[in-house]
Amino acid sequence: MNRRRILAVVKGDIIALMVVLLLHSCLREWVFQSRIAVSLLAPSGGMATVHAALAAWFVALRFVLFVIAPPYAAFRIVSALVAVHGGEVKPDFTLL
Amino acid sequence: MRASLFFYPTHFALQSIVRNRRKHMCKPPLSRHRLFWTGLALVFLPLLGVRIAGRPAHTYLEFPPLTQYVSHAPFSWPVFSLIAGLALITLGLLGAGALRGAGRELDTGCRWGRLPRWGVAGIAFLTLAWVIAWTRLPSLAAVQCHTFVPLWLSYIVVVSALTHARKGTCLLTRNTLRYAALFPASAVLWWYFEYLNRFVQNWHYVNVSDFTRTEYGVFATLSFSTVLPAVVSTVEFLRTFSPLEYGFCTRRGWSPRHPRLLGLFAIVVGGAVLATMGAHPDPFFAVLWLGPLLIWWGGRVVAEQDTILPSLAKGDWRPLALPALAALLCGFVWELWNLGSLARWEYSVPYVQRFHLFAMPVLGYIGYLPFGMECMVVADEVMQAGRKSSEPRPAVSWNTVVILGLSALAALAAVAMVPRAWCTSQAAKLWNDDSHRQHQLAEGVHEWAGDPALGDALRTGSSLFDGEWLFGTHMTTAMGLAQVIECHPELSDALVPRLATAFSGMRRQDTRAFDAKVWNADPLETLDDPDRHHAAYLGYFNLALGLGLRAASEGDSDLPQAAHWDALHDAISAALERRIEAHDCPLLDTYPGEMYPVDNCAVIGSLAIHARLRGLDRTSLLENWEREFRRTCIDPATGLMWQALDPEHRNPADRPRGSGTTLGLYLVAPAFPDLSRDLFQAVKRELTDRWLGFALVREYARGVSGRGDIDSGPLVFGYSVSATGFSLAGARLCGDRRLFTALGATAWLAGAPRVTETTFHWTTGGPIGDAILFAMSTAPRAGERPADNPVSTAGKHRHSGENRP
Repeated sequence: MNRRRILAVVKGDIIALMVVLLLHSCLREWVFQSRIAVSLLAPSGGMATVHAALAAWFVALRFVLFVIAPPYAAFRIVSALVAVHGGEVKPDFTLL
Repeated sequence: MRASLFFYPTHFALQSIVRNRRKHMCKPPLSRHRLFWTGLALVFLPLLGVRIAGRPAHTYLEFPPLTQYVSHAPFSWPVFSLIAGLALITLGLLGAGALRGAGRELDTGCRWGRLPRWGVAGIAFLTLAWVIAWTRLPSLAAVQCHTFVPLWLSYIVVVSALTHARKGTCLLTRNTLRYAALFPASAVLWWYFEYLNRFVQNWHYVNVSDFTRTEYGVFATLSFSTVLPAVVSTVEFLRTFSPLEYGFCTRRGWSPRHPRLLGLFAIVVGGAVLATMGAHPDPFFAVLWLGPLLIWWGGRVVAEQDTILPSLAKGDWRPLALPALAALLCGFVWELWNLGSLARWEYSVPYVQRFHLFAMPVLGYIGYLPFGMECMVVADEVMQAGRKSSEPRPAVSWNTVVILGLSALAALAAVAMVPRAWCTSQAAKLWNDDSHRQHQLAEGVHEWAGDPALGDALRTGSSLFDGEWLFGTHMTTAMGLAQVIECHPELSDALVPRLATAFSGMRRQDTRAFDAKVWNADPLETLDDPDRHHAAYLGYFNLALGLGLRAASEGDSDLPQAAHWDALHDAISAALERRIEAHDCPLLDTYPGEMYPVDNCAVIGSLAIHARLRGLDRTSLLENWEREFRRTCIDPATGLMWQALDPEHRNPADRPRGSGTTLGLYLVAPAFPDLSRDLFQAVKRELTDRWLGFALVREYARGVSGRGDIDSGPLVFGYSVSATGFSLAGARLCGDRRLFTALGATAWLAGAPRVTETTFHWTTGGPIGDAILFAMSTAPRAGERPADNPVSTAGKHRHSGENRP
């Protein structure tokens, strides 16, 4: 029962994560297979701007996946766990 | 009926004490006013003391805390004897209480039962964490500085499980939310003691100097958050044993006649000793543990809030004894695990610094007794907070605050651990010269370099830069291949033909067209012309040739057209040497009217390698070059390289920058390892920032603003893509594993690698990014070529292969 309640809380997050992962993988493969020389080093002008924008998009996605997602997941899961298991205040608080 | 008639009254008195405590708690345990004033006194009194003593307060506020202000008094037998006497009396009283309890036949009703499954998991995890903490396995090096948290989380789980096994319940399962609130409270509590320790400096941490401020703050907070739950769980566990539960309940109570006056006295004494502590750290070193306790407890008494006085009046001494014993037990385990841990603490205590049990002087353990009481006071505040309050219900409930606080702590732990572990583990493969990974990188860049249509894929918006990138891709591919072949001779069969392809790519007419167009002369067809320097094309080509020929000569495979490449290397080296000697300055022009120190690093690196390969003595030329380079190309203020010089007067034409310096130190390393190290130290000092396991390198020194260009790549908050990537080589050349893995983690995060069984590509790098990162991440590590300085060892190690790792 508790497992279901926790899953209900984090279901949306899991779906969002899957979508981001899928987008990331698809775009990376498309860029690579189409031999577009995407580069963060591109200076400016013409296709270089497009390349730099694509590269920035990649970096943003990876930042979300690697840096934002883990703490966000930890936050959501812990709050779900604590709310389900420890949310009800019980009477005995006395330590001694 | 096991209880004796003699003890029944005391037993019932205990029950009434608990009932009375609950009944009379009409005021909230922790009011906002008391929290404010007590907090103010605890924080500012020590600072006030050092200010009155005429010492600068800011030295006590540095972060991370340093322990360099106080030199402690030597060991003293009189002081040692006095404290030892007090300790023996205290321990005697505690022991007598336990023995008294053992002699009584009262029973808590607790029996050993089945250990819950989560407790078994806790024991397994604890064992694993202990093994990791006390061993130095290279594969676990990344986590060995962070074993405190897993060890103590396991301890908390195991002790809670033991309590559950004896009692059928424990705080962890009974009041999870309240128990969880102890973690953030614990972090605040121990940070406060860290703050007090700045004034007396009784302990300091070792093997934590590599942490940045943010890392130190995050990891310390996580570690400190386990202290309070550990002590509280231990108290609850001790209470399941009858001798400890009933041994400290006596018929002799103590009740002060004027409790509020006593509370006021405690506040005054506590405040006085805290204020004196900073000015006189030696005689007052022990008040670190007593002062806060007196102030906090006195505040509760004066405010007529719930204290231990009613318990003591009835002869119940458990609120004093059990927390003290629990902290002592935890202290023993703290010190035990600290002994073999990588990141650990050491003690420096005045007067009693002898007779160590683990790292701590044996009398230091006495400090755990008041500390246990402090823990219990804070834990009690947390557990009772929001309960039995007559104040109106706040808009945000206590439960919400605890859930948010705990979740934030979990998020903090995740952000500190997960991205670091994820990304640095991949970077570690590169540091360790993993043969398969290096082969994947080599095959990946060859897919670009071996493609005749590579030039069409490079579209920078400038034909000059397109040409530079085409040449740069072949050049760094050749450098990386040479380095991998030297490191892994077993790969030479597969990689030496790739090397020849990269050489051909550099030599091709369309590749060198960009340089020929600017100079209005082909660089390879005008080698006899001393006035057209072609420093960039010839310098980089010659350096890649030298590295490749050296690698091929040490390997088992024959380089296709080896004689041709040998002759070309000789011809270019001779041309560059002539140009340097014909010029009034040893620095050459990259393009007409443009001089870049970084390109001259390639020139001199290539000449040094050529000298070693051919056994030539270029000592005079090299020494002259280094002298001129240090004089004109390095900014004396920062130690970084000027990005550009005015060729006529050799005055700086740009600022000192990260991209030039980080690439230059890699290129110049074959000629001048010391100069390379000096530049690397300047980069670390002036440009490098680290954040939670990731490292980034600035393009301009701190406080200097500037724009990005073709050299730096785009700047994000002042950090340069190029400088960050180039710095990988500097970290390897100087043996800085920690910085390398941090830079590698950044590359992994931003580079979006695409890995197959046979190839490795950095998706956001493109051909040039792939090739640059290949060369930088395979640069020889410090010690792999110890005698690379040709000034002293020209030709000495040719063909010997003795410098291979």
